[in-house]
Amino acid sequence: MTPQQQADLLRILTEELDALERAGVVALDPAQREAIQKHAAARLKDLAGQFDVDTTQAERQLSMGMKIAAALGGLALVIATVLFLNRHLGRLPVWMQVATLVSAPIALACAASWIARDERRRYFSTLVAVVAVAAFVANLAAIGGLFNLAASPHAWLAWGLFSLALGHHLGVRVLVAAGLTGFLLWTSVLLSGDFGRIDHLEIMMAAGAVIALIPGRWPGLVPGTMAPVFRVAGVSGFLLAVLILSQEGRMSVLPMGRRAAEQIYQVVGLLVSTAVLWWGVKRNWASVFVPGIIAFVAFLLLRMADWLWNLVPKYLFFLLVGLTAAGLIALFQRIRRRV
Amino acid sequence: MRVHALWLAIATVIAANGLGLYGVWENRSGAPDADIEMTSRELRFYGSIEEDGSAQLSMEWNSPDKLFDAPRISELKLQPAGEAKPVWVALEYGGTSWQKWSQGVERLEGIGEQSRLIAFDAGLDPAVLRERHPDGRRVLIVRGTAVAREDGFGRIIGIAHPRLYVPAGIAPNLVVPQPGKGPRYVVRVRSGKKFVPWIADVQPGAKE
Repeated sequence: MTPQQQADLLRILTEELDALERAGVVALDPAQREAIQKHAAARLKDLAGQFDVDTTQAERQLSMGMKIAAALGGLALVIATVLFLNRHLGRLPVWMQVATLVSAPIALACAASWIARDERRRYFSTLVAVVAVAAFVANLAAIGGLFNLAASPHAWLAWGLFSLALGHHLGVRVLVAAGLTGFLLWTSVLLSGDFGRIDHLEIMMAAGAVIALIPGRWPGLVPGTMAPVFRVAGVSGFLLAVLILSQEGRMSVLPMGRRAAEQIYQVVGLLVSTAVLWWGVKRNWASVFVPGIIAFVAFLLLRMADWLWNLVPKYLFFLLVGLTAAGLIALFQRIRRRV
Repeated sequence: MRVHALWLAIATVIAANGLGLYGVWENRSGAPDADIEMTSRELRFYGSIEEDGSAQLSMEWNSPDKLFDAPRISELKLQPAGEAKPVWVALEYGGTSWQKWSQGVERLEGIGEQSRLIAFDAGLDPAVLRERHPDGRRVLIVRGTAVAREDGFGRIIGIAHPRLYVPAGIAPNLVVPQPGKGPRYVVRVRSGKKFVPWIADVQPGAKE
């Protein structure tokens, strides 16, 4: 359980206890009530002293504001870094340009690590870590431009690994997610040998499946707080690969024609997204359920568009889409009641 | 574990840069594979100097539409009407391939502005391609892509280094070429052991 979850539980416990007393369900004597309140207050103070946790609803709202500020600030700092390098880098001798480009992500990663030693400064450490990842992306891109290097697909692996390692080191989920996305992109361009040409998407499917299964199969490799990130990235990567293959069969390794491969993946997509949906509901994992439902709806809409777009008037098509959505809502409500 | 992750992040930066820079050193060390003087017709400057004083030149090249016949397509392992495949491309500056190509398109206007860099051959091994065309003062070998069409002929459709970096120190020598005024600068392009080109010098002035 994270420190924030512990703080939330303590807050809910005291609020619920008050509500139960008011409703006459329990009757605590003043000494017991005071002991519980003192314990909760002391524990919350302890948590707030050690970690950057919100102990009241007002603090939670303030934290949301800080998250938005951190995201905007990170974006602004990334733009500032890129513009600064654009303006001044080329005026330096080549060896100084290279030294600056290589040392910037390392220095920023170390700075983020140093700032994160005080848990209460985690917003700042996240901000610096995001800039470190951007600096590494700019580093490889600028070195490539400086020496006319052909864009390499392996840059995705390097960027992914850096982001994953730094995110894991600091416990920043967004960096872990970015790292896994980089890894998935690397697998999708690996065999084409081209930086931007996605091909042989079955490799991305396999990589997505492995990433989604890591937290369950090898729990020692991933901390509990990062398990949902692995599942959401893995399941999304897997389903996205199937979705693309169902529309672009030429990206498949299957030894058959483009159209036949597309038809196979159209069926596979509907079946697999349904299975993923069921897996998410059964385990009560939003990290699996949400990408599952998005993929299921996407597959369904694409099939409907393929089958019906030219067959029925447009108003009827959208009416059918709306009715299908209503049907899905009713279906999920029934599933929810059963679960 | 978490401290190890920081070291892994740092090692990734060092390894990725190390591999890239080792490739650059390997490419540029020793005698260049090609050393060619071209002009603003082949390396076009579109008039934009970056904020840091550097610039980029766009490598302009031409190629015959029916460069490869069926045996060459098979040699390059291209599939008719299939996907574009990576190959090594031989680009000749001027010479007989330019004469042949320009005769074919003589009726076109502005031939005097056209690039004389012609993609005239390709192969799967750059060393074999260089053996076939040993003149490093005229033939540049670079990575590229080729495709075979449905009509049974193949052609080059791209090169891996369409833009070359001009350092801030020599970028001021670039002048935007004006139509009908001929070349405005001379560029010395070199490439090395790994067949990656770079701009060694830019001098203002005309060269025909």
